[in-house]
Amino acid sequence: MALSAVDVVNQACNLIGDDIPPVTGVAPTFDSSTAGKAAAQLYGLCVNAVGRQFGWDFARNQVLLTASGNAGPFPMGYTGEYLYPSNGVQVWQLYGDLTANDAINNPAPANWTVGNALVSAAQKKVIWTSVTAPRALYNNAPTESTWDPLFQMAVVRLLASAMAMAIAGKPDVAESMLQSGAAFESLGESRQD
Amino acid sequence: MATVITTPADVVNLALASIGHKDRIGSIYEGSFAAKQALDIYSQTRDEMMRTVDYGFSERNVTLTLLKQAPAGGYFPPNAWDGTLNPPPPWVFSYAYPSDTLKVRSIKGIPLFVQNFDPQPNVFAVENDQYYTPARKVILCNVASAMLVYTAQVTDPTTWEADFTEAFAAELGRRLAPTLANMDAAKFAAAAAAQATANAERTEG
Repeated sequence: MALSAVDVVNQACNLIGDDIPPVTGVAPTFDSSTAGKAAAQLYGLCVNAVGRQFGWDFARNQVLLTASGNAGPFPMGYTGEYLYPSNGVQVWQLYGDLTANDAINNPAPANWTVGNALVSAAQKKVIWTSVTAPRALYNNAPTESTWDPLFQMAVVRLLASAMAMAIAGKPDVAESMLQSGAAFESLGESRQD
Repeated sequence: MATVITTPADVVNLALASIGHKDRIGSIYEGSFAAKQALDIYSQTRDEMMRTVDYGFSERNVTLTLLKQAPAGGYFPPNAWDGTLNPPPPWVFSYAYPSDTLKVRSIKGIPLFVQNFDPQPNVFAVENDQYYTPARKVILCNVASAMLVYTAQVTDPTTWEADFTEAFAAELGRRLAPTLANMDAAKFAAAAAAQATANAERTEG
């Protein structure tokens, strides 16, 4: 059976102990139990936090960036302004058309800067770059069913650490889970694939 | 012979292996930390390495495009020197610098006969001509209808000699080691890069 958010939350609860009743429902709200309410607050944050710690292969996705629609000039001399991918945890690399200008064999560094700008009167996270028609390779926060087991272990432990304080007031468990979560995250960084 | 190194990622993986980096990359654009570091330095390092040795695989010959010429009789009045029309004295000809040139090796005239038993060297200079907007790189010489022998920017790894590939990968490793490995690996990589470059210079294929 494919892994789901509620499975991850319950794995975290198991690590805390105290026979916490299983959480039900679906992310991001889960159920109205104490653990469910805590998970609703903490789950997405923990997933994204671990996601940003390393360029996890399973999380890699490509998107053609959308222009913000603002008129230049843009900061730092960049010629374009693009919306940060709405589901983006972290942008890893920008590149233009790889079929042009010998881009495959003559790769050129692409420069970009992340910032914020007013887009249609709302403050939005944007990417400034001079790359033409930029594509981004980024962490698109894929569903739990695609997770690497080491990423899962790191998320479960970080979530257990946060929930141990939130619902059980166990600083020792929180500390322990934080350390072991970091260990799994570190293991994940030594990917061999 | 078919080479097994066919892409920039293959070269980067050679470099990563040489510094004991535990990961490899699938594409230089993949966005992993190692790939990002490599993308920043790959092309510059390759061009710099290609300039260091006159490899056969990177030699190209091309007829130059004339940009400016000195007056046939020199700069006797009323022929005043005009930077927009004439090359800087004492040069007679100014030619366009081909865009794929990494290094000028020599200038030669186009011979009337294909066996020249008395070849002569031709002096030349590379200059930045500010009379163009924007200023452009030009080649100055005294040879009419000149032909350029140059080191071209050859980007396809399948056309490289194995010793150049080795030297390039070693140099990439040297530059990546401080970031991706450690200073001990960096010192080892520096020695390996020097050795690989020396080997390539000896072979000069």
